[in-house]
Amino acid sequence: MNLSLIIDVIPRLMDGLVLTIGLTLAAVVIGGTLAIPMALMRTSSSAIVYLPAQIYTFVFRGTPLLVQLFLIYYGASQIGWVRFGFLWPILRDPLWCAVIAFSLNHAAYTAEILRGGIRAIPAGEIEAGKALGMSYTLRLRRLVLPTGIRLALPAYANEVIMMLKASSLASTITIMEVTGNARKIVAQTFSPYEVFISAALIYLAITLLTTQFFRLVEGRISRSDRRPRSGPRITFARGRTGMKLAVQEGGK
Amino acid sequence: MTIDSRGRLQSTQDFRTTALRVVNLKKQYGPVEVLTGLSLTAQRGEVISILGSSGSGKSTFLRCLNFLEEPTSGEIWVGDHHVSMARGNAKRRQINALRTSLGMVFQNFNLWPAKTVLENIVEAPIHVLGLSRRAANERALSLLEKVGLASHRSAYPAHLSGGQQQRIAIARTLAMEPEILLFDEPTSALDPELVGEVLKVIRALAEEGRTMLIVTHELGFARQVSHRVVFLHAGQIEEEGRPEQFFRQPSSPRLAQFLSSHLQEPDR
Amino acid sequence: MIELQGFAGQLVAGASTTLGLATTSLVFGVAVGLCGAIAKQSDVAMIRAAAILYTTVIRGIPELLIILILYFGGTVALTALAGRYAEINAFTSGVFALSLVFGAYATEVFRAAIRAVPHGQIEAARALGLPSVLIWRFVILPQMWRHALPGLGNLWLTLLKDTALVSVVGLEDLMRKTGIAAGATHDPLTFYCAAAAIYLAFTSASIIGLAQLEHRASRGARFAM
Repeated sequence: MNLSLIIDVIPRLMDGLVLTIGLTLAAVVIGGTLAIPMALMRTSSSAIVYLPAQIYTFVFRGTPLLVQLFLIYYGASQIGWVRFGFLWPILRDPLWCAVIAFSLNHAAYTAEILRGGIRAIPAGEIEAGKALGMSYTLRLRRLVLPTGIRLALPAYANEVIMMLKASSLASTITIMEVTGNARKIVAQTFSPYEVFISAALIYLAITLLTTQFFRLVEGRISRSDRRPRSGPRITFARGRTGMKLAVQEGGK
Repeated sequence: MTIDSRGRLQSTQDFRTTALRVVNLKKQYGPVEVLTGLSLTAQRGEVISILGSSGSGKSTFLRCLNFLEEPTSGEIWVGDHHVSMARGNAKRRQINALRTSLGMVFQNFNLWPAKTVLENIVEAPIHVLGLSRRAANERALSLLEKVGLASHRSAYPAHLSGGQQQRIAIARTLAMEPEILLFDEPTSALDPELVGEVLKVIRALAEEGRTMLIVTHELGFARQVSHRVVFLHAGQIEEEGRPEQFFRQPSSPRLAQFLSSHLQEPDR
Repeated sequence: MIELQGFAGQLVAGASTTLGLATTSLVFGVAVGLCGAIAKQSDVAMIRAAAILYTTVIRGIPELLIILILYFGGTVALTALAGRYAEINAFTSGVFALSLVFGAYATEVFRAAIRAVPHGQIEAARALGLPSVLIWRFVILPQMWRHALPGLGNLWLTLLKDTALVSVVGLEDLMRKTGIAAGATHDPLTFYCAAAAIYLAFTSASIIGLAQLEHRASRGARFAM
């Protein structure tokens, strides 16, 4: 194995980093936006509302992302109205195809995760909102979604990392993100070991950073959950450090 | 009845002395009839305690009043606003308006754990009543003062004791300035040593002349604060009366048995 | 039923390769995961560190990249070993890669399942002087499965879908056969839809099977207690 090659290749692979991150972000933003109404549909008690969402998530979670990607990239052009419609310039472009496939896929997984979060909200918290005269939309905006998202965050963090890794599939439809770049360089140099390991190091760095980022967000959000567990009951702590102290005393 | 721009019920006539009137309220869960035609009238300023063994329908009754459970049939007047509630008839807006007139205090407090004490209290006044944040904060602070927890305004619920949480929950309900207060076993989830502080707050509210319906197991407390005590059995009022007579000379054997089995409870 | 222009047999052959790859990887992956979980409980710091490094690295790298590394890297390694050019077979490298991935996630599933075994039982066994090998065999492992089953079920569904990635290094699985048929007939829409339907059938059957397995596992537990 050639160590210096591993390091030499990294800057060249970095050219694809913008695309990798861009694809992931696009999927997270578009897919996440689609996921919210879909998760709400899934929590409905009316079959006309929840069935379409349920079928959607079932199909997208039950088939490989690669199939979905190829279906859109290779298959869409066969449908007449797509071929001659306004969508054609978009569906001709592999990058857009990847964005669409990733977003639809991410939406299905995120909807399920968010639904889990919403279902985990203690019923009393929502009842309190009802009893105070909050309307359905107000409860949704102020109670259901913020709490549901908070509860779903750990699982969602994993899903974002899955999406980040899945963005490497874009390389199979000619997109030159990190993996695509790596494959191109391998084809030129035939030093697969080194080049792919460089790419792996890049992914490892971004996934670790993403994990760290979500850990930070979770820490911020769960401030209200921390409480002293044992020892003298400290009613509440004003400062951050005070709170941490209380937790340490309670924990050990 | 009309609904004003903020969604609150407005009377078309002057208030009479009746604060709440319930006629023949029924609630069924499938084949099980929990409320079998319950009628009750509360005058303004009246404090009514509702007793009954578990399964007698007392919590369901309170929850039906503000549509946390949808009643199967019956009629409800709050003040002199008639709330239509034939199945599918009660409109969401109507229900929300009704709910702002009825303040509910839950057994399990149901505070929002991710919001601070102050945020818990100002949430509904700002977003339902349309109060400015400043006005809502002022109102919240004076209520916190009243329940003795002003210094805890930026704490999170999880950092407070059960008794403190319930006092916050009462302040949250009062911030909506409801016409009637409903208490659903407000001390049942509390450790015995914390019950007193909550009862003290409720007693103070009773003395202010508020209209209150209290579902409770604290017989001694019910006897002290209530103008009237109601005993529910099998979804109906089995017996009601002024506390002295109710506790001393129960006429129904079921009530007599209920009272004797709860005699061991210390008076508060 | 659609004729699939004579490619139906090819798709069936591909589907059976897909199933073969998935089940083989499952067997090895479970073994790797068990080892990983036991390693994470080890008293030796080095072993624990190695296990943590393994799960962190594998879970931080795209599955596709792991497949590519093991395929191309495997060829390089095999060539160096044999002293002449030797190409690793796509199925073998696929099993290798998918088992590593499955094992990394299964490690966490097993670890949580081990924790779910009541600690008192382990202490009781220790108090009886049972050596730790026997504690694992008679106390922890038999009870752990029930807790691990839902998590393993999810990993199996992921594994089933991840097999499609091995087509990238030329394995003639369902995905690749579909690609060939789509190219030959110029009808990718039909063929990828057919492939999606087959994958969906596999995952649906798995979900039903898993539900029954979980049901049986919990029933057994009730009798055991």
